[in-house]
Order: sequence, then structure tokens, then C-alpha cells
Amino acid sequence: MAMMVGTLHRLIGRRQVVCGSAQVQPCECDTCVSIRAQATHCLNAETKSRILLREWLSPEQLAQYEESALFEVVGSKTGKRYRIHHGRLQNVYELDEEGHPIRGWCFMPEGGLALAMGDVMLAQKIALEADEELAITAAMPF
Amino acid sequence: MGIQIVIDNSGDSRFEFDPTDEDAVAKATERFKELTGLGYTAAERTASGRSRKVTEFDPTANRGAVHAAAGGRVNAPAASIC
Repeated sequence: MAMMVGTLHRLIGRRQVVCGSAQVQPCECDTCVSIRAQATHCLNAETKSRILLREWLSPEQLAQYEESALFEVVGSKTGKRYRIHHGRLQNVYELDEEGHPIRGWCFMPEGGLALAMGDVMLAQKIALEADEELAITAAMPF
Repeated sequence: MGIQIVIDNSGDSRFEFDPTDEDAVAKATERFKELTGLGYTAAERTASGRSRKVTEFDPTANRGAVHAAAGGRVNAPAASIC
């Protein structure tokens, strides 16, 4: 198991540098993708969810998350910005134009209390970026 | 190689398929329809890192990593929790 985790971490660490910028991306070749998929099968839910979340964040979001344990997304319908904090509940905030939180929105995927934290945060990101209207309709303000 | 990722209690389950294999594509298409029929949101990660909703399964789209991920239907938890 330790070897598997070590291998996975090395693979995740193998990144391609985008020329002319500081942005990095996981290697997307078929071999790396396949090995990452097989390796993650053996990890626990929390670890897998953290890996998946990092794979899905944009370079800017990943940098925010690593620095501050939060990241910002842009709503698909209104273009409003939201901040998703590390957590499962009461962790999503709508931001004003200056980036200050003005309202909290509480929502999670169905059965979310049984899901790993990274998966809940990823579902929140997907919901706001892909179908903001549905997410906000289902959410409770706080 | 294409891959479908389904968020579940184990973290996620990953299903690889060969986009040139008709049987594999049929199986992946069936899984996609089943999950979205249950209310799962299917999305793909764009090159910029944004999520884009996927309503039709296209096995040839986006060579490589994540073809489509499905997360559970979005709900607000019980009011007492919020």
C-alpha cells in the first residue's frame, strides 16, 4: 500500500510545465492517466477525493486552495463569484464585486454527509460552474 | 483512452473505456444514461479548469484524462444542519 501511495504521489508530481507561465498540469498521456486511475482505486475515500478535487481545479483555483484552503468559482449563469472553503457545510459564499462575502449558500450533493470532503467541494464547484441556477435554487441562504 | 469518474462513498469509481471499442462505448453510454437519469450531474473539465455540464455522452470528446464526472444531485441539507 505504501508503495502504491508513493508511486501515486510521484505520478501526481510528474507535471508538464506550460511554456511561458508558472502554470502546471498533471501529465495527461494515456499511460499516466491509466496508472493514476488504477492507483487511486486502492486509496481511501478522503485521499481519493482530495486527489480528484486537485485534478479538477484550474491552476488558479489550485493555487488558492493550497495557499488558503479555499478557491473561487464563477457561476455559469450570472457570472457571480463564489468562494468555496475547505468543508462540507456552510462553506460556500457569494462574493461582491470587490471580493467580499455577502451571503452564504448551503448546499451539497444528495447523500453528501456520507461523501468525502473533497468530493463534496468538487460537487459544489461543478454545480456552480455547470448549472448555477439549479444549485442556487436548491441551496439555503445563510 | 476515455474515463468516466463517478463520485461515490468510496471517493470515486473510475471506469476506463476504449473509444474505438463499440461494446465499451455502449457500456459507457449506458452508465452515463443511468446516472444522469438518477439525477447525477455529468460534467467535463475544460482545458481552463472550469466545469462544463454534459448532457450527451460523446466518447470521442476530450482525449485523455477525465471524460465526464458525475456527482450526486445537488440538494440543500436539512434546515437544522444549515
